Amino acid sequence: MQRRFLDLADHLFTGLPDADRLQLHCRAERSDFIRYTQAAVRQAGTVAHTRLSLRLIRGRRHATLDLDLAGDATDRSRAQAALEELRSIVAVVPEDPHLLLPEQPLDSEHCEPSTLPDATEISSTLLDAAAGSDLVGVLTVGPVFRGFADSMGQRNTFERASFQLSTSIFAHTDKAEKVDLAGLHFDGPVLRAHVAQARSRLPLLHRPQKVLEPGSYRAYLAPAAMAAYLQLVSRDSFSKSAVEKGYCSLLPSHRGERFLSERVTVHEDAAGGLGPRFDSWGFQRPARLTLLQEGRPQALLVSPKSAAEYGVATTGAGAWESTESVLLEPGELAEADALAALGTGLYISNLHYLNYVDSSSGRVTGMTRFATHWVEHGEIVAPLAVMRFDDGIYRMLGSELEALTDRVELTPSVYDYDGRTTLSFRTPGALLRSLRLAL
Amino acid sequence: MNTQILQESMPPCDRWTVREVHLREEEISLDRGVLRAPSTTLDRGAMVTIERGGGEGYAATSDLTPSGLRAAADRAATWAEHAAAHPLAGLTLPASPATTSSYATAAEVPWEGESLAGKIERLQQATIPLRDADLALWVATLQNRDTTTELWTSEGGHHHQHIRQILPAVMLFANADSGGTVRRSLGRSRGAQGGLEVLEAIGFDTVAVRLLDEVKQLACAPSCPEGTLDLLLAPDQMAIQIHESIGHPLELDRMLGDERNFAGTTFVTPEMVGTFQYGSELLNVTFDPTVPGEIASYASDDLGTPAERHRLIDKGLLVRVLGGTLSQARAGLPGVACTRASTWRRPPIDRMANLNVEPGTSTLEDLIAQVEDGVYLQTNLSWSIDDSRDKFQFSAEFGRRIRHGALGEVVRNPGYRGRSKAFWRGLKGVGDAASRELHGTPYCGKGEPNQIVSVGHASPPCLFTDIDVFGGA
Repeated sequence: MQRRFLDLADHLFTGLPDADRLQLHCRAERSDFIRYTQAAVRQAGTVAHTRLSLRLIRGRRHATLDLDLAGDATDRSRAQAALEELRSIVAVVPEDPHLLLPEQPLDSEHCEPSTLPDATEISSTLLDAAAGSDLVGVLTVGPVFRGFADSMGQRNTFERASFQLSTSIFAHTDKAEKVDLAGLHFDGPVLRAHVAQARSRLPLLHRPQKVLEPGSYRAYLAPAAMAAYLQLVSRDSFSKSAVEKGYCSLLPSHRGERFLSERVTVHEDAAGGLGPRFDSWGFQRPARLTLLQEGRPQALLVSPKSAAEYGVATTGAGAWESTESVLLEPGELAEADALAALGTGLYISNLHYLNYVDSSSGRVTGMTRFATHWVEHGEIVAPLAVMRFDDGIYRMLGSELEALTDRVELTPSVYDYDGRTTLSFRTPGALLRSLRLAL
Repeated sequence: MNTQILQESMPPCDRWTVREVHLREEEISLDRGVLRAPSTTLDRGAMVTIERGGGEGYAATSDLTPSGLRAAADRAATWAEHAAAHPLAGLTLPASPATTSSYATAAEVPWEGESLAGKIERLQQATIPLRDADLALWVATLQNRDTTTELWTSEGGHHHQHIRQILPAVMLFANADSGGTVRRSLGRSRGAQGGLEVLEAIGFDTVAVRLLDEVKQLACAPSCPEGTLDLLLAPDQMAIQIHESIGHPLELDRMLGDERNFAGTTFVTPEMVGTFQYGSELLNVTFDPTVPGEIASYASDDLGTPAERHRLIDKGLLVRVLGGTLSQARAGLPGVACTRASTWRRPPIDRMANLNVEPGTSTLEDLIAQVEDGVYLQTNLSWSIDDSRDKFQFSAEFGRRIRHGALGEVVRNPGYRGRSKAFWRGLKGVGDAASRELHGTPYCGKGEPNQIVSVGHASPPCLFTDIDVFGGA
C-alpha cells in the first residue's frame, strides 16, 4: 500500500503549477470480517478498500475530493481527472480565512510487517474454543494504512496489521460475558484462555435476575464501561471550538467555576495509541497532551481550523476535536479489591447507548448491559435487569468518584462505519459512591 | 458488465452475485457565513458473493476488471468454504429470483443542473437572517448523494437502481440565560429523494427566520417541568420514536440473535407476530418502499427481492416483521424485501427502509385541544434505548406546554422516557393526512462490521397519554 501511494503522489505532483499546492491523504485496509452467531459463521468476507483524499489549495481557496482507488492502471487517470475537477471547484469558491497549512515538512514512516496468520486460522481457533456455546460477534483481521503527501515535500506513512475480536458468549436473553481481545500478534492459547474464562462465569448469569427500583446506588464501572463513558464525554469536553462557542460539557471547568475530582487526570496519548501521529492534512500530534490534571483543565484539542480562527497553535486534532487515544490515569484501588470496596451495589461490566441529556451541564444517560450484576457485601449475588443511569459528569467524575483502580485496560473502538478505525481508550475501573438510576 | 462476462469470471460455485455501486456525494457548508471547503466523494466498487457447499462468502473490491472480480470471487469462495465448515443451524441460503427491475428517483430539478456557484449563493441567501444574529454557532449544509447500484445474479437476475438523495441541514446554537447553549435546527431527518425541488418542499430557503426566533425563545425559556403528562410529538420527533421503538425491535435478524453483540437484541419474539398488541387501535405502521420522494424508496432490495408495501402493525396488532428472504427462511415467518447494504464494502442485512405511521383523522389543532396538561415536542435532540429496544429516553429541541387544550409557553430540554412494550398502547390521537410529513435520515447504524443506511419515517403528529416527562439539568 505504501509504495502504490507514494508512486501515485509523485505522479500527481509532477507538473503541478506553482500556484497550486496539492495534499493527499490515503486511508486503506484489507480486512477480513468473520461474523458469528451461536458459535457458527453467520457472514464472512474480505474488504479491500483504498480511499485517496485530494486537497487542492490555491492561495486561500481550497476544496477536497475523495476517490476510491482500484489498485490498477486506471488510478492515475482517475486521480488526474479528480484533480481537474478540483481546479474547477477552487476557481469559484471564496477564500477561507480559517485555512491553516503545515509549513515545515516533517516526514515519518512507520510500517510494520504483519505477523498474523490467515484469518481462517484465527477463526477456527476461536470456534474450537467456543464450541457448544452461544458466541456472537465479529473477528476483524488485517492491515490498515494511512498516508499523507504534500507537494511541498512532506511524506508520512503508517501501516500496521492487527486482529480485533469483539464477541459475547450468551447465557440467555440479554445476559452475556464479553470476549474482547485485540493485538498485533495472535496467540492461540491466550485466546482460548479468554474464552474459557468467559464460559466459566456464565453460571452467574443464569441466576434469577434482580430488578432494581430507580434511585441512587453505589456502583463500580469496569474499564469497558468507563471506556464507553469517556467515548461520549470526550466528544466535546476538550474541544477548542466547543469551549469558545459554549457548547462544551465541561464548560464550567474551562471557565474556572467548578472542577472534577482530583483523581481524574486525562491525556490525549498519541504515542500510546493505535494510529499514526500525523493527521489527515500533515499536522503532527504531540506524543502526549494533558487535557485534565487532577480534575482541572489543561490543554485543549485544537484543529488546524480552530488554530487559524482563534490564533493559537494546532495540536493536530481532527475536525471534531475529539480524542483519538485517550488515557485516564489509574488510581490506587487494586482491581482485585474492587468488589470488596464496592460492598453493596452495582457491578457494571458494560454501558450501552450513551447520550447527553443536557450537554451544557454534562448530564449523560445510558444503559447497563451484558454481565452487569448486583453485589452484596463484596460478592456477586445476581445478574441485574438492565437499568438506565441518568447522571451528571460533575458527580460521576466529581463528587461521587470514590476511587479508580490501579490498572488501565485498552479498549480499541469497535466503530468501523467509515472503515477500520484506530481510535482507542485506556481506562481503569471507577468506584462511585452513588449513581442515579432512572428506569 | 453483463451476466455472461461475470459468469466467466467466477470460480466453480453453486451461485454467485455481483453488486456494483457507484456513489457521488457532494457537500457544501456555511459555518457562520464562511464557506467550508466543498467536498466531493467518488465511491465505487463491487461486492462478489459466492455460495459453495452450503456456505456463503463475500469479497469487496474497487478493482472492477475481470481479473479484479475473479480475485474477489476466489477470496469469497475461501470464505464460503469456511462458512460451510462451521455452518449456522437453520441457515439455508434462499435462491435469488431470476427477475429484473429498474428504479430511478424522479428529480424535477436535478442537483447537477445548478452550478456550484449557484448552490453556494442559495445557501448564502437562505442564511441572511443569521448573519448578524447573536448566535454562538450556526451551520447550514446542502448534501447530495447520487447512487447507482447494479445487481447481477447467477440465476439471471439484474437490478438497476439510480437513487438521488438531498440532505439539507440548518443548525443554530445560542447562549442560554441559564448557562451553556441551546440548539434549534431543521433536524437530522429532513433527507429525501429528489432534486433541488426538495428544498422548496421543506421550506429550506426561509426556515432560518423561524429557527432564529425559536432559538431566542429557548435561550430564555424555563426547563421543561417534570411530571406524568400527555405528550404530543411532532413528525420530526415521531421519526426517532418510530425508528428506535418500532423499527429496530421488529428487525428479524435481531430476533434470530445476529446483532446481540453490537446493536442488540429485541423484546419482540417470533411468537408475538399475530398475537401481540403493540399499540392502541390507532396505530397502523407500514413498510413502504413505494412512496415517491421518501428517502428509502426502491424497487428491489440488495438480494433482488421485489419491494412491496406491507402493513407491519394493523390497528395496533403486530402482523409482520422486518426480515428479508434469508431471515424469513431461518425464522419461518413472512417478512419484507429489506435486505440492504450501506455500500459495496458491506454485506446486506435486515434493515428498515421507509417505516411509516399511517395518518388518522385528527388535525393538529384537534390533538392540542384534547390535552388538559401536556407538552408538545418538536425536533429530536437526544436518544438512548436499551439493547432489547424496550427502555428508552428521548429529548427534543423545542417544547411547548399545553394546558386546557391550548399551546402555552416554550420550554427548554423537554425529555421523556418509557418502555416500548407499553408506550404505543398509550397512543390516543393520530394526525390526519394533511399533518403528515416525510422524514428521512441517512444515519441508521447497525451490523458487524458497522454500516449506516438511509431510512424514512413518514408520520403525522401523535398524542400519547400519561408519559414520564422531564427537563434538563
